Amino acid sequence: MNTLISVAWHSLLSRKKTVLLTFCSLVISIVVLLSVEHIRLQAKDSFNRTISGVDLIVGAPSGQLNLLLYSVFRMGSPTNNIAFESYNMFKEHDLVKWAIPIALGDSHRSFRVMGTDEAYFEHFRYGNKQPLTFNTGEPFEHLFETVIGADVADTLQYKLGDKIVISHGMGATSFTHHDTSPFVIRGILAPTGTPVDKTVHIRLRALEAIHLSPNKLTAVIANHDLAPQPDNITSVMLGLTNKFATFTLQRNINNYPDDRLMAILPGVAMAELWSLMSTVENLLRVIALLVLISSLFGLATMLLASMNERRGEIAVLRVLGAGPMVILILILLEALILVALSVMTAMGVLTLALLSLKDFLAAEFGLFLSHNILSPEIIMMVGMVFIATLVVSIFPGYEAYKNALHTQLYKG
Amino acid sequence: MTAAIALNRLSYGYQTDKSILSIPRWSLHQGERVFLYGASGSGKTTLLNLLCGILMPTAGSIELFGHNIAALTARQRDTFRAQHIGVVFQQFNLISYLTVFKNIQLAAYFATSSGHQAPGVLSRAEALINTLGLPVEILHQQVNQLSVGQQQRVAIARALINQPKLLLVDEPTSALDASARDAFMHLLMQICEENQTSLIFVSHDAVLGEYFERKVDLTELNEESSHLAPYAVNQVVKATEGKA
Repeated sequence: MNTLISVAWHSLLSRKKTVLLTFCSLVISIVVLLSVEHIRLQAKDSFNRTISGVDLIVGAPSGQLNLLLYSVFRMGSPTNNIAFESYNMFKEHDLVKWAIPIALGDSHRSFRVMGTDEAYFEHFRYGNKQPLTFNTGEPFEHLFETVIGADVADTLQYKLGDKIVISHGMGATSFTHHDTSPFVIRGILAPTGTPVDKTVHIRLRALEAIHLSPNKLTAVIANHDLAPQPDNITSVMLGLTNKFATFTLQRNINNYPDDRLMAILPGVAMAELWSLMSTVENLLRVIALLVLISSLFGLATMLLASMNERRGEIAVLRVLGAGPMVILILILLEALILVALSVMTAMGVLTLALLSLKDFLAAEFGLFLSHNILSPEIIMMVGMVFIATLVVSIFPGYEAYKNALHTQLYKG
Repeated sequence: MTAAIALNRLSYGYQTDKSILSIPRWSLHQGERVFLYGASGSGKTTLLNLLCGILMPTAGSIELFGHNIAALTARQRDTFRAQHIGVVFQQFNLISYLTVFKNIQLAAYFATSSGHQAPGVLSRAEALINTLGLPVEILHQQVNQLSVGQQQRVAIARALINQPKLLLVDEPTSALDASARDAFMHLLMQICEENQTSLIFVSHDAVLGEYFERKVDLTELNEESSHLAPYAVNQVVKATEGKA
């Protein structure tokens, strides 16, 4: 077998130009196929990791996707706020075990700032019901303290005790900086692979305070107890004492007379959001598959086209005692070697691309992609590529087989 | 002592009712060397194809060293050919993209039925290359870097690597000039003599017939072509001069 592989390899080398072009087309198509599959798997995974153990999310009435996007994924902007009184009502509610207030709108060097309180570090869960843990430090204690996500610390090279200034609104080019009231970093969270990593957490009251008029703010800085409770917050995450009460409570919230509220079930909203994406996802997979098939046909065409110049070669092999089956195997080996090289190259290219684009994808699209592409699904995909290769190379293989069967001593 | 080749009522046709080759009886002793000539269409190539088991006779038998090769399976025939028959053509004997040694090794590879590489292929190849008057370094050169004369000598080395009992040679010198041709013939005869290899040498060139004691005109031997006028070898030479 080694001898045959070596012959197939040298045969490929002897046709460098066509082989190289076929190789390129194979690499490109396999990169497309694997990256679509990898991104799909990772996106789904990171998507489903984002939130766990939250029974209801309450916000101002809009679409459930909108509420989900801004409260969980920190994407887009809230359309409206809810009254802080409503949050107080939830905290006192019999069915509610815990409530996490969330206020959004400000940023720090394009990372979102989220106003919340201790309940967040205590009750928020991601992935498989994992709680938030601290890499270093602890939850904020004083008013102007902050807890930052792992990516924020990483990207901006922050450490405990550093002072940061929060900007009004979003974007790195904001003109209003709350620079009279810097925040001291009190804690840095361990990486979660969710939008939490990209969030700067501060106290709700601190968020309210930095928006006060300068005079009042100076007073608050002098005496933290003067910091007011906010009038409005963006949304509330609820954990219930009894899961069976979820629907009842949802209905009650939606019909709450004193404030305009909407409650969504994160699981349902996530499923809806994902199903939106799955159309695109399937479309991408189909396109990737078609690209692959077309380059496999290119491979088969290259092998078929080489058949004429191989007549002599096949006659020589026959005379040496190679049966038609051996000739067929040689052709299949050539196809397999070329595809194996393409797969390896494609995987290398994809890994490198992921390594270099990781931060960009995470920052721009909230996609947390691992550069480790060796998942069972990908390995299965590669297996299918090889099977497809065998199927497609049957055509030139059979041609060579027939050729070998009818070959006679070469008479020049 | 069994004959190297024994043909008995051999006939072959592409269509069953119309045979193009028909030999009632013919044989070759082991170690015997024969010069085979004949007009175009007398069936030389067909006979060679039959002898090495690439074509199957429509009737009759071909016995090589006592084995009826028509009774073997296709696979067994391929292995039999690899082990016992060396073949050298007019040209294109070698796979051009492999080195000389890989070509020779490939012949040895197909001759070992288990697929295990017989040991000592390299030393045997070196010895053969030496005998054929080629530098040993040539083994690791790409075939397409060699001259035609060198390629033909390498082809002999490749045909002899498995120490075949029968060597079929088809116009091996047509691409060589006169001096190279004589050197080639001397070598070939000497090697066959040393190894007691039976040799069938096919050529149009009557001059080469002088190296042989036994000469056979296939035009006469083949009943299907005996209607063609018996050929004087010299005529054939004239007729085909400058062709290929």
